Amino acid sequence: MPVGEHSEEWDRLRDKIAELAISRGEYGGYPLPDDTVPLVMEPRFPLTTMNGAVVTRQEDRKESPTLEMMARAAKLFDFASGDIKPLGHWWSEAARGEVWLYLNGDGKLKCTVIKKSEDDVHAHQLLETLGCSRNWSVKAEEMALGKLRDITKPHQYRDYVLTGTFIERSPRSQVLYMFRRCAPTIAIRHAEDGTLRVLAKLCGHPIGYYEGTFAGAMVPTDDVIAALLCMRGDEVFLWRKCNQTRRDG
Amino acid sequence: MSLDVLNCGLGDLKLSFDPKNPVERERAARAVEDMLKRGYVIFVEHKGRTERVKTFDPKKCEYIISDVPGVIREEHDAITPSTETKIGAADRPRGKGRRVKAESVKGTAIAPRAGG
Repeated sequence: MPVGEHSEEWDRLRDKIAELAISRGEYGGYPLPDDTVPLVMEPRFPLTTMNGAVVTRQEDRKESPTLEMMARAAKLFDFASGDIKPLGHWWSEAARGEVWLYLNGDGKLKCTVIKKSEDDVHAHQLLETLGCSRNWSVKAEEMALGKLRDITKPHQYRDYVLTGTFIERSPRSQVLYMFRRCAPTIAIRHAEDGTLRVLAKLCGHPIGYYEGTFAGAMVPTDDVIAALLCMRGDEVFLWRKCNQTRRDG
Repeated sequence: MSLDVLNCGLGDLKLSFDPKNPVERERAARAVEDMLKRGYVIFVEHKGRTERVKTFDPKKCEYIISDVPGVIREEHDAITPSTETKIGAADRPRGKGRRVKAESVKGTAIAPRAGG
């Protein structure tokens, strides 16, 4: 389905999938796979086929720009592009780029760093997140907003509606948390001298998320509610279950 | 009992039961027990605080809650996980926890979380 196209059929399909999940005892529901962005599921999620799932057929999928770049590099170094087998990749703060592990044409393990500016990465993530929003329902987001209003103070809810962000201080650790829609939660230490220090940005989603985006399996405000309740009820659990980073995403 | 479950397609799924109806009560108890087995976390509002449910007693339809210590990681540990800054062993959960009647509190269940 093209980005931005609204479809009642799509909403009906989503409702059917929700019914199916509940009938199987999956009260958190099943996420909708995206056209192109793979899902990353929580390891215990029972439908293992959902991990890495995309709707588009394999033959219709274009290789990622990174893979294309690697294939071009492989030609330069005279080994067949088809023989490259990527094993995994991640963002490295130290290297300021994406680290890729792959097997080259000789079957040897290689590692390369693809330098990227943080702005490029951030813009790409925002675009992909926008694309993934087609998998959410407006009705679900409205329900989540209603719940958030019930569990936050009026000024917090107002801040959230107007800016997509609100702040709450942990009574246990005195850490300030900035809860943000479609973005990682920022944990800040407010020192006695008035200075603020970012401890980490915490990124986590119930059930799973769309790879390389800010989009979770659930609507954005449900992600915020989950992070808020975890902070209030079990701060250690929040930190343990989230990826901790100093950059967005 | 009122339990909201954060749900992918629906946003918020509400489970409720009439405590005087044994069939409804048993069905709700089974659902809660099943969710905890599947790794869901349940938070309840109890005496003005948000508490995480440790376990559930389906026979008595009671949540068993515990206080969890406030433990945070400092900036350095955030990138190289090593030690945790513990805010006192006295805060650690111990004993059998406190029992709370499920019908007397409002809860929210959250499916297992994945770092993103």
